Amino acid sequence: MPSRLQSHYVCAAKMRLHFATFAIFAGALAFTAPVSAHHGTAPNYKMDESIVLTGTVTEFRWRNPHSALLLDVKDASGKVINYAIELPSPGVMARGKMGWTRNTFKAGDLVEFHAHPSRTGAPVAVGGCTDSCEVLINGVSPNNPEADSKSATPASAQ
Amino acid sequence: MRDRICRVLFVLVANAGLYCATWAQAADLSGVWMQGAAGNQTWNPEKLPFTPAGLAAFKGNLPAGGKEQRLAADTNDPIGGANPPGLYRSFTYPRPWEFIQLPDRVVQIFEWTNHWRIIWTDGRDVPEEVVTGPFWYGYAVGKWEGDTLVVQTVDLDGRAWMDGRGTPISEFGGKVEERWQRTAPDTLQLSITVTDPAYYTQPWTSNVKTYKLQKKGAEYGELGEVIFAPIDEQLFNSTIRDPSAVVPNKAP
Repeated sequence: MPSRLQSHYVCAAKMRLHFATFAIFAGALAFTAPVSAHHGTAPNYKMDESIVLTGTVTEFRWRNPHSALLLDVKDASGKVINYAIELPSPGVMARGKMGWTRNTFKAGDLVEFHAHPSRTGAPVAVGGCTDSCEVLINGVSPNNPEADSKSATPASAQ
Repeated sequence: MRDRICRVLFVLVANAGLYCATWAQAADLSGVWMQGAAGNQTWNPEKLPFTPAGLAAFKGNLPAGGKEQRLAADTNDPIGGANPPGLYRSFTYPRPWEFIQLPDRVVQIFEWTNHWRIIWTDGRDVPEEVVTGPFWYGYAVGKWEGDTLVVQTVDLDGRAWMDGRGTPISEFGGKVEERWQRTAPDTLQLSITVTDPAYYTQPWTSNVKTYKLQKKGAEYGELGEVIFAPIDEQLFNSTIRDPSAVVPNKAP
């Protein structure tokens, strides 16, 4: 079954950087599920672009109303950049298709995370998680497979 | 002595009868309710009948997004500083809240920022003003009109936006009538009428908000804690919101 991101995005280009740290998929956006943070951070991000951040977890903030995942990602020159990925609140992530907990990510985990980049070029992105986030931790999805058949999580907001 | 006992018993029985009659005609609104993410998150997307002061207040509220695609750091949205969303904004947001119905009051508990509000249904009058106001969640008195709970809310804090669009209401001057009706076992509807001569030339009525019953055991069937703690908000703003929103060429 195709994921939400796979369904919504048509990848037009893929740029693989040194050390395979991140690949950028820029493409046409058929439509995007709304990502409405509680005070509207969605305009801060390029919601019509998706990047894949591959790196090592340095911190997982499991806090209301904003959570965040911080990753050390290497750029093309091999320089390590600490990337912050904005995530929904624990109340959203613990429910439904995600079923995440505060222990979902641990420092040192190798993560591949599909996210929308900041408009400013700052090393900040938003997870774009509506029903689920597209992510692999050490090669395994943390999402709740049993919840896939449940009704969609009604709240994308934080 | 016997007269005294009889008088007391008479008063008790009479009050109990009145109490039961009032209770019997009330609909049961109890439960956890939520508007889905697809629900309209503004009260009225049309042009509102602003007075000059109301229009100035509306234009002074700078939400993120909208036509301008304003970045979050460029807004003056009160909740960006971990201030309370306020009552009416809470009803527009896709998070669950609970009605707890008691004989003399109805309590609403909001998961989003962990606030609560009381609607007094004990027959008291709607006050002109409460000495301890204004309130982010107002002061409310309700009565039953058939199966509809009609609530008058006063003493609202003018700093709270009514929705994410920045719809304003004037401090102390704004009064809101809410009409709550359970239109189906799993459906609750609300419309509001805002009367606020300082900000609006005439009363206006909102679109209808529809909330679905969240059954126990469902994803949103139990309220959780979602507190906006300034300590967390400041960390979020400094490490995520602001870096993602500072446009490099914007600085002079």
